[in-house]
Amino acid sequence: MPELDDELMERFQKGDESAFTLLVRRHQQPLINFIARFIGDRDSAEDLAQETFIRIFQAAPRYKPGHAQFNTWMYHIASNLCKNELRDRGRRGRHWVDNTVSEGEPGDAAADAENRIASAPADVSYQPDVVLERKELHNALRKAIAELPEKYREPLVLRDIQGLSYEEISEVLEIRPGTTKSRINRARLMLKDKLKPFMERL
Amino acid sequence: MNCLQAEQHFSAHLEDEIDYRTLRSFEAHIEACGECQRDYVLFAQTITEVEALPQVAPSPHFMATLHQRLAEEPRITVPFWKRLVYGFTLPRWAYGALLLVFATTTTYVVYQGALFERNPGRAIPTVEQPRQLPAERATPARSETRTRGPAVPPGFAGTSISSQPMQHYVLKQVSYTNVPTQGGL
Ligand SMILES: [Zn+2]
Repeated sequence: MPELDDELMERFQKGDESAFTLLVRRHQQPLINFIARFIGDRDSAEDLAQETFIRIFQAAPRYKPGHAQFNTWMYHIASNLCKNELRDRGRRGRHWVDNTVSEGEPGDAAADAENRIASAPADVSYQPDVVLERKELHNALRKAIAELPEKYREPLVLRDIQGLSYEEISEVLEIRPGTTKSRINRARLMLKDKLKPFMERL
Repeated sequence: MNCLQAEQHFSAHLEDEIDYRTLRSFEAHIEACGECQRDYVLFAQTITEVEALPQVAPSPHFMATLHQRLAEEPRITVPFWKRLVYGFTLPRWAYGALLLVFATTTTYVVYQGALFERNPGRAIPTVEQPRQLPAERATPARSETRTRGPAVPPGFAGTSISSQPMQHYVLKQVSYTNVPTQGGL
């Protein structure tokens, strides 16, 4: 049975750095995915994910296993870093550019998946129009998510992309569960309206 | 319930987190309102599509870059005594088992000590009056061997060693605990 996050943190607190490496390996993918979807930028996502792990490394001696979930603590740190980044961008007047899909780049699961669809061999189920429409839909979806106001986008990403529970999201964002639920419902309604033209075509 | 109110419950209905009274009025509205029906279906499809978005994976050099950055960070300092204890790491059940063995042994020794202090002559056979089975009395050779056992230290006269290992052990316990009183400390 794999060791729990708290057990790994306890080992790390005792000076075992291999436990920290295991934690990074376990959480790097979901963390990068969360940040990339939240800020809509793949390159900065890697950088911010590393910054999150460095913060965890620094704060590890103060971490109390069993007090809070490692997962929600990690997302809480990442969330604050993302908000700072978005604030800085706002001040610099940088516009949103979706570069979460960088086609052909190795290691990019998003690009790989899209490319796999695009280069699928001709068979009965292969219909170029459908593939193109799905690709268009994915792009529209990514753009629609990125255009959501921050306070709706973040809980939506945590719920529908990262799969966290309402309670966990409330912990990460430090808001009441009722607020979390209503924000997620609102975010989904906004997405549905933005995607209506695409969805109705499919 | 009107259309605006109905859409506030889309998520709760979809995730089965709606109370019975709201459920009844929600479903009544949806059945009667074609627009809300279409919207509800689109709403569910949107969530499915969001969930199916391909994941963004870390680049191959993510881990190496992180380790480089972490190399500049101060390490966690663990005091020497903690390292000593933590270096010897066993599963939790093993610590429990060790504790149990220690507790059982200690209880046994203390109990035996108390028993013999109350009744010192009870299980301490002497050379003069060895506890022998009738069959053993008939074989002097074996009896002789027994008296040739480990030497009795000076000051322990009146006590002796039995051929039975357990009695030997108990004898040692009692004899040593008697030293202070004999020595007049
Ligand atoms: Zn309606």
